[in-house]
Amino acid sequence: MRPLVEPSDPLADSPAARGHGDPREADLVAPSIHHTFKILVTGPFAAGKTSLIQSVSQTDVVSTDVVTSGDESDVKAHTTVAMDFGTYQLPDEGISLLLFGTPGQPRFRFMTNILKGDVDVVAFVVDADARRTHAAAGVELRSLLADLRVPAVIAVNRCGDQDVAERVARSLGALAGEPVIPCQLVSPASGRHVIVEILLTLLDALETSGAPLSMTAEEV
Amino acid sequence: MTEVIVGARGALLASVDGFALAQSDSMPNEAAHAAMLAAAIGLARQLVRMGGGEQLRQLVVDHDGGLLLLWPIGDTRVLAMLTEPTVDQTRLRRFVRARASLLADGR
Repeated sequence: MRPLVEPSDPLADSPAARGHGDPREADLVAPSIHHTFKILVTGPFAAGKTSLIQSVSQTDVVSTDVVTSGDESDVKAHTTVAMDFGTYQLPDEGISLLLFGTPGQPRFRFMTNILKGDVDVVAFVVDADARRTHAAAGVELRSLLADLRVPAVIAVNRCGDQDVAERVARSLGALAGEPVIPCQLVSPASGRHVIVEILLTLLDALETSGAPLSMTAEEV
Repeated sequence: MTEVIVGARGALLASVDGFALAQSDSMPNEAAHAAMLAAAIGLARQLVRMGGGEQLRQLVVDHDGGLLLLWPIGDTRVLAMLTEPTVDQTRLRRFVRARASLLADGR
């Protein structure tokens, strides 16, 4: 697929910006999306990854939820076994986020390995109350980021306090510069808060890489 | 099952959330296999919708070493069978369909 952005466009040189569509088609249908970013939504089992995607996606979510069995059925009734997929677009800015959600259980780690290719930002979701998951989640977070070398946003679910969220994130080994958002991911408003942080993180990454973006933080 | 169907090499029954429930001795024994079957069936159900259908009947992985056939068994289980490429798929499907309720009940 050929990139929509012209070579003279500074975003075309950005590793974080991905073209979308064919320029010849663009003349015909005038698509409003010029830059597409891939967001990996990951984290431990029952953290709220599917809830985040379902709460913000502007298209029907592709979901692979199935009924749980064994001990996991005591935690929740359904779980993701392959992936969730949703989208979030800012047409006026020509930006589209593709949200790829992973399963949370270690036995599905191969799906994370499949989905993590060419990711622009990792949205790592963790349940503030599920403390027994935090140690393993921290190892997973640091390992993933060391591998991908992309920015991360830490969404601390079931949490309404920034200080508590920061403590949870630091216990995972999150770095000082990594944004931490307390959130209630059953709420679309809270999910959008996470999306805004993802967009700001993308903006920072693009500016750091030297590719100016016309969109400002205020416009986000 | 693998003794009755000529060309069948191994079978694995898993839960739809990725746990192995039963398997033949000849089936490769790796913890991730049940999870991979669950993920494949999960994605295949979505592909059925893309194709305009409603119900997944069978998933076939045709590879250079033979076939991997997957069937959803009820709402909670998935059956996988490794076979030779020459296996009689019609007979195999009929065989599995006839035993689906038994497999779904876990007997």
